[in-house]
Amino acid sequence: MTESPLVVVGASCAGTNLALAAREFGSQRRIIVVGEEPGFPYHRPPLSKAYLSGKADDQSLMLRPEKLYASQGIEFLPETRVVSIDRNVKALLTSEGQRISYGQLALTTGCRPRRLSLAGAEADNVLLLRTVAEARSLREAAQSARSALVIGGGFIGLEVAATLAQGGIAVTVIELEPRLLQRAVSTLVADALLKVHRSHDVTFRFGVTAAALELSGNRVRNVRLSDNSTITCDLVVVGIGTIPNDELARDAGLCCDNGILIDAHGRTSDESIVAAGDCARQSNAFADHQLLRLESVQNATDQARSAAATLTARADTGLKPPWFWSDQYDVKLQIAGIITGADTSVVRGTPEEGKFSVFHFRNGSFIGAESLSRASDHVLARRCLGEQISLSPSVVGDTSIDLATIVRQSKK
Amino acid sequence: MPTVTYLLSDGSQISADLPVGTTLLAGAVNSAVPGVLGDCGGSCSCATCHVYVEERRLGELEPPSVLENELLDGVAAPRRENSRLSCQICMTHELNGLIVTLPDVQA
Repeated sequence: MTESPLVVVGASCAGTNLALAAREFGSQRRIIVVGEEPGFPYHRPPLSKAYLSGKADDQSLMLRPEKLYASQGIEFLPETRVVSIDRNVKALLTSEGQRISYGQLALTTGCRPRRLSLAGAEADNVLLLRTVAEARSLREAAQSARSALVIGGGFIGLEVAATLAQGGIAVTVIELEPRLLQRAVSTLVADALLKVHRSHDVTFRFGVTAAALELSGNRVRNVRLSDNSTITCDLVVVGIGTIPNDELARDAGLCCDNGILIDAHGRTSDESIVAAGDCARQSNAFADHQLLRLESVQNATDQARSAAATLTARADTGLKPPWFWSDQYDVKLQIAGIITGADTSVVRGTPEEGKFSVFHFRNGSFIGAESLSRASDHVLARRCLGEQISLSPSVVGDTSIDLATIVRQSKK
Repeated sequence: MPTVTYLLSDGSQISADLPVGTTLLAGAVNSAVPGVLGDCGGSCSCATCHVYVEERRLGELEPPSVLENELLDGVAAPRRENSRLSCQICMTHELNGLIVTLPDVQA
């Protein structure tokens, strides 16, 4: 191990997978993962669901056991904030003034939730959800809350709303757009999710935003909305989007534009530096090569492995279709591909029962599918995208045709 | 502690001690068994933790749920009678010595 180390900034899902994959792919370097949070990396998806409801504990969140990192020769520097990158001498500077030299650098710094830009946004009962510490605060606050206002009808907001509603809290969700998940799912799927939430007594207000927070001491008691109505609540949860943590890269002169720009193999504009995960933006082959910054476990994992392959001069791990899931109540939403820009959409299954998929096409090509409690459609759609198996609107609209058979036959 | 043996597609094998109640996926991931991805963290969403369970002990397992059964339709390697998702199999004392074979492809 005479080469200088591979340093990974961001002890995240992407960072951990990148470090493990670099070792798996034969890297002989010392590997150091630097993270701002205390402790070892953890799974974030359960934070809004099983962890928030108390069904999962800190131990079950762990991404990998501590002993695995030791056995793979991966070192961690927790509670360490990197403040700058000196690319000329290949060194990082931490907020404590420590210098860390690198031979290769990986940026997996993630993103952070956007905050409300209103007076009172720092009040004790206005909470965000990204880290386990924030999830813990929310869980504690939920124990004594009888009512909650969720600002933002996106995935985080809806998952939190579902968990809180199931815990017996009266939940109101406000959303600026005229419907839920405007940029993420089709109207049919948004309506189906809305119906499920309403059946659990969640109240929705569309086309409004929070205009002012009225405090009592350090706590918000009333939230005045843009239509001048007022909502009284014990707890406010803010889920209004994210901001990529790309400042470190930008300050070091790397090309950034709403995320650190990376090529198809995870390289930034500096050949010794790769990036992966929520902080990275990349031309996406499944979306007409638009530059996309995807926030998902799949994207973090696949970009991490791809970047690790680049660092170890291995052949890339291949193009993987994007996919995503969200669990709300007993409904599982799964999305394969990038569905924006569809010109034809076909329903498969029975929307009335809340069990259906919507298959999307553009210029006659299959581009992706959303599935609600139809997991086999989802996995098969994913394989069609990944293995370039063509699907037609007439085939997917006919439930008497078994998609598994189509996929199997096209493999021959 | 009960033991599970993972047979890899390259012919090698890894045995791991699994605390009762942990899943075969967690056992594989925690022992760095290559060939099991478990990208969704074991929430039965991704179908990347496919294993073949030794036939003679298949009856000792709880049958797959509707969701697992649906996901198994789309696993990347051929689905067989003994195909299961390792995130849905919880270790018990009775399952001690179980052998599972990993497919050569997960996703």
